Amino acid sequence: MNSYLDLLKANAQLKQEDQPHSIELLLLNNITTNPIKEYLEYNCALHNIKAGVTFGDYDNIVQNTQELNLENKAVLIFWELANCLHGLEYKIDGFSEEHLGALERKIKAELTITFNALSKASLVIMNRFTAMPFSFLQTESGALENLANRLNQFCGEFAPKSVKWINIDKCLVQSGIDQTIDYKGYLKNKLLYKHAFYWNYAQLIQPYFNALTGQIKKLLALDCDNTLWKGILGEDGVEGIFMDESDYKGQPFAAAQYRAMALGKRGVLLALASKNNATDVDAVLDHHQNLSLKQAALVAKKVNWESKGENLMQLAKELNIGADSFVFVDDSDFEVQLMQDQMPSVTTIQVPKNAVHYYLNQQQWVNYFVQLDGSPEDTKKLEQYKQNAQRANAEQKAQDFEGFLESLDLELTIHINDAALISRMAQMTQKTNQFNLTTPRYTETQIEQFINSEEYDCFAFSVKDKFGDNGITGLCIVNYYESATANIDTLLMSCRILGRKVEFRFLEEVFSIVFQKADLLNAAYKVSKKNAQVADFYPKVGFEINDNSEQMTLYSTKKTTFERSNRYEYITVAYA
Amino acid sequence: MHEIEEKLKEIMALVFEVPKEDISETASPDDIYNWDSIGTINLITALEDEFDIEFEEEDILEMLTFQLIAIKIEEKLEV
Repeated sequence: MNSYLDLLKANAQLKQEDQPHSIELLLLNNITTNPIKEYLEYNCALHNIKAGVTFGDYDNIVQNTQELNLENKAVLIFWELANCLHGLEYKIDGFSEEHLGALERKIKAELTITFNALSKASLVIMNRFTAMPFSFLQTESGALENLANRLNQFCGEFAPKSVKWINIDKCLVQSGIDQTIDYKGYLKNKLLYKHAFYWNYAQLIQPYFNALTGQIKKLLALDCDNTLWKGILGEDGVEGIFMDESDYKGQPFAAAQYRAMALGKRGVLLALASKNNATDVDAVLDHHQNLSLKQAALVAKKVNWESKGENLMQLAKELNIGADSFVFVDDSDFEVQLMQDQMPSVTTIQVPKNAVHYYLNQQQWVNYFVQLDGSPEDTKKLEQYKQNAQRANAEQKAQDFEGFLESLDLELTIHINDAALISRMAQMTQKTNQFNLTTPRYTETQIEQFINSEEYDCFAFSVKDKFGDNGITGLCIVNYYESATANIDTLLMSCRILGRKVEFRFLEEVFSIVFQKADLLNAAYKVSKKNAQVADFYPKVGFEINDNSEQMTLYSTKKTTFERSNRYEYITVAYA
Repeated sequence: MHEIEEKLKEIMALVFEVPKEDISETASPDDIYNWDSIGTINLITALEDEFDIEFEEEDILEMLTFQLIAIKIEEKLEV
């Protein structure tokens, strides 16, 4: 993609296509940034998102945040420091301290008003202040750079934590000033950026849109030969493979192992997908002196001679997560192609032939796993998925399923409107796709509003069994909206706890509380690409169909027909 | 000239998001919804990409209709 025109042509085709996801983007700016629309639309379409892009009025950021409807929108803000005052880039070094102080106070006041208005947006992306286009030829830091630093510090302290800050110097570095900054355009039309800038910028922020639409990757599947180490174990033997970080040949591969471990620390599941003899690979994992990525960090190893596509399909079933949340890294063109053919939903990364390029490209791995808000649940996840595998084994041993469930010593803890769980509840709405009846995506601010509102109850639960604690894994948000009528706004559960009837026990508890305030309870199943497994869930818990269309089924149930089944007494219940 | 006009039509259709057939020889900002000041900036950028030419402020002031733009491009290419 070499020019704006190339992009226009490519986008003209792509924007005809329907996409399973959609987002509304609002761009606020104090410079002309309109060409960015095409870049955002194009990049989003490549990631299955239909982006509706609108612009605020030119140089009216503060007023626009007060007046425009920001609700459920992703807001992008281009607040260009040099244009806070016409010609600031060449005037500022001559300002008196008084003059400079007044300007700084004015900008800070405007920022504060803007920050207050942003809480309604579902996502806010804002650029860090920078003087780079106007100072990169100067030996010493000038007043514009210093002001940029102070404003960034101010934002760090006072901006809502949910704002995502983009260091746009990265967009300049990637292609150079010549390709990214349009000085002529700036002088003529306040059009500061050009093609390569917009291209780099759209790539840089795309992970946030993927996260916002629930397209979050969860597992990194790594090949071994020429991916985790240099060389081919089956041919070169243990002596012929390299991963020593004190050696030029081995270091890019040692780096790959460390990069993977860092992802594991963030909660990404790590697995091997390798065509090798399992015993050979195990020997390396257990004994190789330069190996850093140990067995314990892996959730699974698919080391055999079967197709890698089959292996990953099976792994998705075992872990009960979608294969579309897998990222697969392999050095072989053949394996990467085959994966794209067999399992097109798996994201593939091909290891470059040049090891230095490999070393460089690894820094992008983390982009696939960007989340809107990280929460402490993540770090416990590996343990829980490993327990799932243990449970699968126990299941085989148990005589019958009911007996098996009883043997688990299940404990359900219900939290009602618990402010300590806001971050986790928001995260669950954003990440849960399969067991999710209506799939609304909420921010922490929105959840906080529900908790504080008389009209809403948020029920979250955690589940424990004799193998371990699964943490907070389910959520039901109920809205009381008319006299004695309630509606299930949200009902979702993490797939790693399904299959234990916990959902039925949980809802019996929820209903018994809801029916203290309401006589009629409505619910809906809204079709998404991924939630087919719950299409007939509500009838199983006593609801009757009111209305049915291709996109949605509406249900209701009455207080008078509700009764506890007492069928799930083997699950003990506690309230937090 | 015909070739330039054909390319110009294609690019205007892309930039202003209208079918190519809607761009007549006499088309002007009055006929095309997206042909405003921002649309003009986008059009200029795309034309500079396509023809590898550069427009100056005074050129842009004269580029008021489809025909006038086509003539301006031809002038630039002849220099």
